[in-house]
Amino acid sequence: MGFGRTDLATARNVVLALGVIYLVIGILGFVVPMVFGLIPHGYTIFDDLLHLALGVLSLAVALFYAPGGATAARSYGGPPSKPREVKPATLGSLAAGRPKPILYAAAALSLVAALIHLWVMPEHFQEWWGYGSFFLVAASAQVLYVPLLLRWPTRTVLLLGIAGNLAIVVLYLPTPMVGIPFFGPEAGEGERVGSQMCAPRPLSWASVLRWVRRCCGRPHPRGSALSC
Amino acid sequence: MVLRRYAQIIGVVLILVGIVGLVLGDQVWLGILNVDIVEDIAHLLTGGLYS
Repeated sequence: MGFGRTDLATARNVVLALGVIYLVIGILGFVVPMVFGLIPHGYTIFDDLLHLALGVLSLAVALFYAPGGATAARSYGGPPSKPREVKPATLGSLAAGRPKPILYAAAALSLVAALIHLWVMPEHFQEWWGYGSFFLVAASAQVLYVPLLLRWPTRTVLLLGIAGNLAIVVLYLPTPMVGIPFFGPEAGEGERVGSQMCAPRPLSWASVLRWVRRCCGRPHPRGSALSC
Repeated sequence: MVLRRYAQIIGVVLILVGIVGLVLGDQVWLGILNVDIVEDIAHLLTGGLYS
């Protein structure tokens, strides 16, 4: 794709597909390091992190430098893209004309929280497959949320991030005292509180706070801004 | 240009990683990175696609 003469759309799709594959392998490496016997020595944590990084980077490059996008038009010397008409009903892109540091910070926090969830996932799989699966789903969602947030920072996507991270925080809050509610062999038993247990939740809180600030910092064009 | 340049760099790096991995054989390199024949082939294939 890089040295070939394929068109940009195809190159982008290939980079996107390979990014997804590396992302999936990176996440899978945390769950089944030997990949069902394919990798006899098993992936190390560094392998997993490298695969994740390559996956996220490929997705970011493919999504941000898409042919026809503003960046692509600048890079290839093409005509400037026509400004898109934004219908009031489909409003939601908060990216235009806004500083992006908060967006990047929220994305980075989401990624760090996901990595920590992946880090502690194996020990939760040892306790019960349900606990491990929860960590896997939470981490996957937080990883996949990063390109989603950076590519389409709409109000809906921001609210989705707030709701998801709040749900994780709300689930976590009672676990040190009254234990995990309802499910698994340790239901109702208080969980130990260590550095690994504590780390993802403040990151989730920080993500939520940044998303709320981002989401509510701009009045809604129809005059119905969220009251935060 | 960024997309193509990125694909070129990642592709070349992956191919080199695959070749070095095949030379080294099955082992955990420096105790931190795993090297397996299947992984080396996967690196060569994806590197070829990237580049």
